[in-house]
Amino acid sequence: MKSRGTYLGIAWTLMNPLLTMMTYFVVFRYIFRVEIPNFLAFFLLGFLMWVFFSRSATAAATCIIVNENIIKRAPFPLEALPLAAVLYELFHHAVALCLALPLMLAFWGAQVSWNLLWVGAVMLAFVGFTLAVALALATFGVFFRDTRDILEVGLPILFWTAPIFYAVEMLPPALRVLAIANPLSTFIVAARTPLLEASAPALGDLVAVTCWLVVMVACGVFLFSKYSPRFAEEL
Amino acid sequence: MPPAVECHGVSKVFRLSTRRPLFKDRILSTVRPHLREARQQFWALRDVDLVVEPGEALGLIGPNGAGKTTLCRIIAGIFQPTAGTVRVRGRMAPLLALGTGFHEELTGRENIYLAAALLGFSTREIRMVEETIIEFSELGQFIDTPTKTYSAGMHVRLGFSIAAQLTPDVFLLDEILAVGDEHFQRKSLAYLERHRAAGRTFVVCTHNLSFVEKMCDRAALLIGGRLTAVGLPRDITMRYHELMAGGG
Repeated sequence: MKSRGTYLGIAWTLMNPLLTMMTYFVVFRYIFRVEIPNFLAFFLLGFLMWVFFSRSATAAATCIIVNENIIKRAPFPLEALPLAAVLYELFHHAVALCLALPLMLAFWGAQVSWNLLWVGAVMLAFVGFTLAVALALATFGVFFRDTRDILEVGLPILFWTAPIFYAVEMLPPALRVLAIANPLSTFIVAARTPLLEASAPALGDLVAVTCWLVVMVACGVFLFSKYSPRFAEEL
Repeated sequence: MPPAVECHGVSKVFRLSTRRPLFKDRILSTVRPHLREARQQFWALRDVDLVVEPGEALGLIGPNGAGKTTLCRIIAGIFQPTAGTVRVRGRMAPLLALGTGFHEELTGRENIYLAAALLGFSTREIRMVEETIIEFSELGQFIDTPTKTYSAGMHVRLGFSIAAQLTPDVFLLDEILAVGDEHFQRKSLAYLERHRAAGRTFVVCTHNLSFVEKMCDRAALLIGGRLTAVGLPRDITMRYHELMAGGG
């Protein structure tokens, strides 16, 4: 629906991250010269997860407001809107991963092993986490119109404090706290370890992933179910 | 048979705010409650009791701002009542201010599916009536163009056609009777009449008093959020006329 009226249509949703990715890759590999083995696979996984998260968050924050028309005219389960926003992004995320994974395994130094199942498990948790964030943001978006502006500032902060183009170990200790406090770091590191090092994610990472997931789902579901009956009249 | 629509003691309070609060206002009002601006309350509906029997057609009349649309939205389940309960038995098709609920980038045909799905109909059910809807709407070749290119008349024709063909148990119509041109109006009235005869329930909000007198079994008069009179259509419209003439 989003791509209606554009010439390249759905191709844009894949081309956009692809071109951005190439730009970042050139900048970090050849200008800042980040020395990380298998850098392409290293940053690609985190970057794809980031694209999925940030797009879902942005879409979720406005999904209720832009559909005011239908919300005021037909009673339907409102959680369908943030859900649809995330599923739409998930579809592209899945396509991108399916294209990238074989390349990573064949050429870019990712390891084939049973530990790849961990990548899948962490991804599932990440999708659940993103859905919960989407529910919360959809609620905030209705009551505070500033949500979009806050996201515009907040998302880049989340991006740069997550170890996408660098490893947490490269940070000075003072900044490490920031990276660890960022939920995206947890998910990215937990998915990257089994992919690149053919070992299970660290126990600490798994515990952190579970905690983020449980807490966020609880918050998201609570907020949305408490406030969604009032959406129609607040719009 | 139990009633098709039941409202018991339904009240609705809206909080009036001159502007939408920004984030800082919310924070401030939490931290410093005494700074919180007193939000005015507005009782859109007060203690409304209304029962509509199956197969009955009820006309809801009243001046602008009396709460007709709010009541419709509460019966439809779009607004939650502040107090009281609402119960609807059977499948309901709310037609609230038709035709504007479309996704403008989608074609008319795609909007049929979207609208019907929102009303709770399955893809299979919709496919069965898709052609009838298109035929009834008289949109012809335009059904496959985006609805943003439609005229106002085309919008309402499509909207009405969708709701009319889905055969719900309860029709909830908010000010959508005078849609389209003379020809389409007559056609849709005839269609509603047939649904009436088939024993479907109607709740109709309208300013069209002659429609209420002709088509409805009962009428209800809503003034200032209160249900002031319920009874035979002719008595109620008379009362409404008197009130309007007397009160200005």
